[in-house]
Amino acid sequence: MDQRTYDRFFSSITDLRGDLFAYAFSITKTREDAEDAVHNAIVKAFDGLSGLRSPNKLKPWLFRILKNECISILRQKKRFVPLPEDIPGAEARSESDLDLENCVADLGTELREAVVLYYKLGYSTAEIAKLTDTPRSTVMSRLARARELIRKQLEGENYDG
Amino acid sequence: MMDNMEKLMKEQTEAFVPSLPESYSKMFEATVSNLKRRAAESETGEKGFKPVRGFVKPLLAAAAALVVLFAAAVGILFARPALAAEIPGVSGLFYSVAPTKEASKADAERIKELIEEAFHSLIFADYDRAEHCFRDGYMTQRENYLAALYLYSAFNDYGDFTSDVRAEVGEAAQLELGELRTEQKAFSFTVRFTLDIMSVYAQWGGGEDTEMIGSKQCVVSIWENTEGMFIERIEILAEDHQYIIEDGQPLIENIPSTNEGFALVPIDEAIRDYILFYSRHYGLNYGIDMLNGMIAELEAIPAAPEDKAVRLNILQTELEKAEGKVVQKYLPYEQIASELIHRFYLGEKNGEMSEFSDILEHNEGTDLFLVEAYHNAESTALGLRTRCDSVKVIVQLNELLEETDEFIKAKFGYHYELPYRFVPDEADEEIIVMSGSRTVTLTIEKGKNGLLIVAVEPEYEKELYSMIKAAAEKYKQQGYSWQEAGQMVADELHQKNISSLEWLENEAKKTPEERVRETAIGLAGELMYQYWHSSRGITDSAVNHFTERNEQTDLFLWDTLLAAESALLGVREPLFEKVECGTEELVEILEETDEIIKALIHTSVEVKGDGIKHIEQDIILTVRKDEPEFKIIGFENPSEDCLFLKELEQIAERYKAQGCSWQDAGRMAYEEVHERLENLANGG
Repeated sequence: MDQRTYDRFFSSITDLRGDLFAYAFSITKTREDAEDAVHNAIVKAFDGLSGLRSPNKLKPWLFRILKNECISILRQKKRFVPLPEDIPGAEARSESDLDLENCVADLGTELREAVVLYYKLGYSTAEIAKLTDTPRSTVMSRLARARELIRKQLEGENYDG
Repeated sequence: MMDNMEKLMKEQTEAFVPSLPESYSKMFEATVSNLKRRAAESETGEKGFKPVRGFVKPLLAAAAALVVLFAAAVGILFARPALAAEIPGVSGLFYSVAPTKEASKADAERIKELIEEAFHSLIFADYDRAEHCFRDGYMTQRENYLAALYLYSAFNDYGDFTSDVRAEVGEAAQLELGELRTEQKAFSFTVRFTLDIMSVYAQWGGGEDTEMIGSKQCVVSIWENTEGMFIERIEILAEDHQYIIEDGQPLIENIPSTNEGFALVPIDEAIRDYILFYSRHYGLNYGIDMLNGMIAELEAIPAAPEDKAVRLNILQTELEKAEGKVVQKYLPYEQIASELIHRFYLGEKNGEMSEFSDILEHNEGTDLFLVEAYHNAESTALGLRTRCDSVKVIVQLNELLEETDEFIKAKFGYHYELPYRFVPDEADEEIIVMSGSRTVTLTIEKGKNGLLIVAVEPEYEKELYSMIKAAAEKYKQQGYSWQEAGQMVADELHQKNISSLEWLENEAKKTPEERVRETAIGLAGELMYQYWHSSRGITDSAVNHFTERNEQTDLFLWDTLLAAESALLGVREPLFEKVECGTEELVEILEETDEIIKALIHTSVEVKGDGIKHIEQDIILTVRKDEPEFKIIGFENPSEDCLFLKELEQIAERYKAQGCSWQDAGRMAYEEVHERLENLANGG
């Protein structure tokens, strides 16, 4: 690999620093797991860089690696460990670092992923389709569904996220 | 409302994602820094060199020349790996250092041709032709031999060993290779692909159709030398093929030479069936039955006596082993189970309920089995079901669940074969065999006077039985006894049979013209169901599939697309949670010829949600009577209740008045409305 390729890689991932965290967080819902996932994904992407044919494909490729890392972490880690109350100093680890009443947090993973990419990171539906390797109409459907669910929740109805 | 919604979405999302934690920033910088260091190390080699004395220079020059020569040789080998394939001492080293990469396009093409040639040859047992595709001696290796046998039988059996699919008689079969994924390391290639086995059958109305009857994942290893590419190994990743690999071992060891095996494959149905016997899906009793049949068939096959002797010996040995494995004490249970299943199908065959009272106690645990048996028999008697020619059932006790001195409860597996006789128009009589394997749990009482079945519970997903059971449960929950519940379900099934019979009789009285008209009008309900169903956000609506695009349907098709897009854009909330079904009622036939029918039709689509129950509309549909697929060639909506059609018509008229073609006018009208919807979505 030549230096120019490396430089381009590092420049790209630095530009995407915030996006990567937000995306990972949309899947893992905890800061710690999002950090781990981003770290693993960057290292994996670096190691696999020789297999990437075109720098234009770096971003969607990187996002896919990151998503796989997030899922891998979620599978490995226990999400909630209830501890007996009589163990001194024991504290239950919460499922999310967030206010659990946040509507976006209550959405399913795929809807959350689309919402964060669209509303937080400002990607268009076409760009989201490329990043997540899903058809554009699916992205639009997911955003529409998310809006519907959040609207209902804000209007005080019960729903299944 | 949409402005607020977008704002709310942004707020909620911003609140959801935290700002970058300090720990993340530190981690990120540290990771990038480490990776940059690794990148730098991979770019530079050892630094500096020591000055050398004079006498070393020529030595170095010679070494350098050798290195250059070596590099050139390596370069040549990397460019043409096939050259290295047969160089002793070099091939192994070269292979170990060569990188793994995707094969080039040109190589991938050659590989595809090679695999197609080899698979076609094996499937049609053309081994002379197949041999040219294999590296010397590799075709006759054990696993390749078994793969060849498997391909031959899987293909010619029109299905895999565990499939219940039986093909229509008289059809051919073809194979299709899915996309090949090819990796190259030096002169070796590994190719992965899906092999689809298609059944090609003639349709009664003429023409041909295909049906996918099996799909296998395959991995092929290929070796290349200066003479070309050759297959080393075929691996088929299918469970039944694995059984053959595991269980075919004793068989293969006993054949003096696999070359003989290949040469005899066209008559080697005995071997194939023997392998089939070992398919665990069918079980021991079925296997014994098969082996006995094979022995009888083998004697009729005109093969060389010494080869037949080898095979006969194998089959006899396997038969003894299989019979030795039969658990004698289960035989009586298997016999009564066999009686039960046999009579069940006999009733269906004869159109008359079989007598079960000598082997089965009628109670809550067996009642629904009898309800189904009666229904099937009645269906045949009323002519609603075709009679089969005969019934063949083989049963085996698979798993003993519970046993006491009084009863046993066990899972039984059974295999049934029901041949049906057909006489297609202007063709000879043909036999189609319906067969399958099922499991049923029986509880059998060991009475003083013999065995008696006291409970029957099918283990498989059988649509009719599941429906019967669900219906009976509902009645029992309402407080009915099991007898009453069973009788009520039986009465319902009887009514269904009577309704079906009446429908058949009415259908029989209809003229062909009446039937065609009915089919054409019937499209209306389906059309409007699909319209409202896709308006919830499905851009590739089924409406497109049975509507021909022309000047009379163009705007309706654009309307259908806009209906979906407006829901996706969020500018039109889906009015309902679900769209159920559409029905139609003919109001008036406006025009009818041999080719087309034009009618005013009232449609009703059942929906759920937002307080709406039905969407009632009037449409004028023109249908071209093209059997078997009718096409809608004209659409009007006099009740003006399609979502965007009226708007599109007004805009399109404007463009047509300016001289645009109907196609351009339609498209521009769509684009105008679409733009309006997008602006609405963006708060414009």
